[in-house]
Amino acid sequence: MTLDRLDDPTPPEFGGTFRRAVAQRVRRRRRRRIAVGGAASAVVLGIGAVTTRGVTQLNGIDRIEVAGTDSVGSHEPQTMLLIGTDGAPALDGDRTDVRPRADAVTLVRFDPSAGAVRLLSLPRALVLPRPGAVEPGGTSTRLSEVMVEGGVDAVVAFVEQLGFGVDHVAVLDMAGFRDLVDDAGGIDVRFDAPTRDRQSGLDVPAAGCRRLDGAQALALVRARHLERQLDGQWVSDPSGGLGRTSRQRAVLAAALVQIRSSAADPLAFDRWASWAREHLTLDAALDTATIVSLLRQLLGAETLDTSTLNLPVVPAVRTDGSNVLEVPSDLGGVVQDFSDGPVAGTPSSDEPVGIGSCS
Amino acid sequence: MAHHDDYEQRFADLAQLAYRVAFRLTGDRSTSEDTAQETLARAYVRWSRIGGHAEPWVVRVATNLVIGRWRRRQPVLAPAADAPGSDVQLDERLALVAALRTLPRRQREVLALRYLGDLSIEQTAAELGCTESTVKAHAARALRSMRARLDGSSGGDRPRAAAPAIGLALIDSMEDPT
Repeated sequence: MTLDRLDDPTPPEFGGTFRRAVAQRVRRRRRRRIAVGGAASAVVLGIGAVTTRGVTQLNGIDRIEVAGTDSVGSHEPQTMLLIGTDGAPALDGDRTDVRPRADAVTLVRFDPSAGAVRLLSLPRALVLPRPGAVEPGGTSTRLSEVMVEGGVDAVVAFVEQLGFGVDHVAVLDMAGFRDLVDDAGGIDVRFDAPTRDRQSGLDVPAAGCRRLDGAQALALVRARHLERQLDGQWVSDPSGGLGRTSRQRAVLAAALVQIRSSAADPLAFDRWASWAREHLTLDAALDTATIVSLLRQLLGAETLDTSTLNLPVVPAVRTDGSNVLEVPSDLGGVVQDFSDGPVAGTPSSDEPVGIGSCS
Repeated sequence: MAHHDDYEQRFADLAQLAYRVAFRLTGDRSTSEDTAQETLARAYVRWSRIGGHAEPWVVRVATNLVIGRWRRRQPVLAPAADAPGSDVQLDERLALVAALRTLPRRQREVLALRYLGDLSIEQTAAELGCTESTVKAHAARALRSMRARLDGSSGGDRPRAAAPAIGLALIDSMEDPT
């Protein structure tokens, strides 16, 4: 019972050169941990009391069967696909006619051994082969459409084409996001200029740090026609779909920071549990112990890494004239970094244009 | 930092272990050294949390690093051109990588800990927090699906499919003598 015939007959010495290379990698890792840890690690966790009543509420959360999801153990590293939809959740198979659109899709990586939670948002305009397409060179589809076409299963299959493994899925309707922000007392976002989006309803009349309520936070997340007032003129935001993706991530991060600071409230768990029951749909394979464990990690992770991971995308124009985003065949290690933590190389920072954090 | 004394003492053994895991999968020295360096660096940073179970931790991280490279489509399988029997070994490695990419998580972990890391059933059970008979069951199931896959497949794996006969011989040599 051994595979030793596959061993290197003359393995190297793990001497001075090897040790120096390890030491160098340790130094690089340390620098990054300090850089990304920062503000988030100052927040101390206390997720109120995990009450029986709260757990009962958790047990009442809507569930759907999602192909490929599986329990991996409550304290194992795992990846959750968070899908923000533009409508009420109508996800059960028989009601495919009213499937909502996936409006904000974020991968959340829970890595307890590193004490880290990592976020990676995917742009709506991302184009990949349509999941399940059989013919070679078959049709492609946009992330924003794939849920309407094939439900949550298709969103998972779509994302997994990039090389990310998805263990669990959470679907959140937009009203749920609004209520969550309101429950936490609003979120703080810094604006570099007066900013508005007349379609989503965002209206920030002055530059500076602003506390946004749930409705305004949602309007910022959904903004696709953002304008900024510069020298008295309203100017369209040039960053397009990519800008929207990085704003979503920044808002989600601001919301997490705010929620973490309200987590010591002993009633918080009860309130969230009842909120989740109303607005959240989870995959059927996610057990209650794991939900509690993930929530604790979300609120207590020493590293909340929200800005260093980016999917490399390339703008392209389709034959029908629509603007889309494509990925290069080499994702440059982002899948690995998302899974195990950014290792070395240049930290990529993808701060959204015109907004930032207040801390 | 007293706890890092322990790291120093075990450094060479753990580096060898990480290298062995990577080499069994890739057959490539530079990839394996690279994997061992990265694994040992991560172990150092997290030593206070993993010191108690460093061997299984190293096996898992080294395995994940190699499979992650594979997912990123970096070429990782590079048989030494002049090594005797290198084609056979390449096919065996392909069968292992395919299994690690497709099996359910628990079976994958048992495969890595038991067969790449040469950990005992007892150590594997302790690491996974399950009983020894569960480990045996997962191992048997993993080998069974590897076998089924080879029986039923005539291609599909990148960059090419492992020759079924060689894969089956590999699985035979992984059976526990129980």
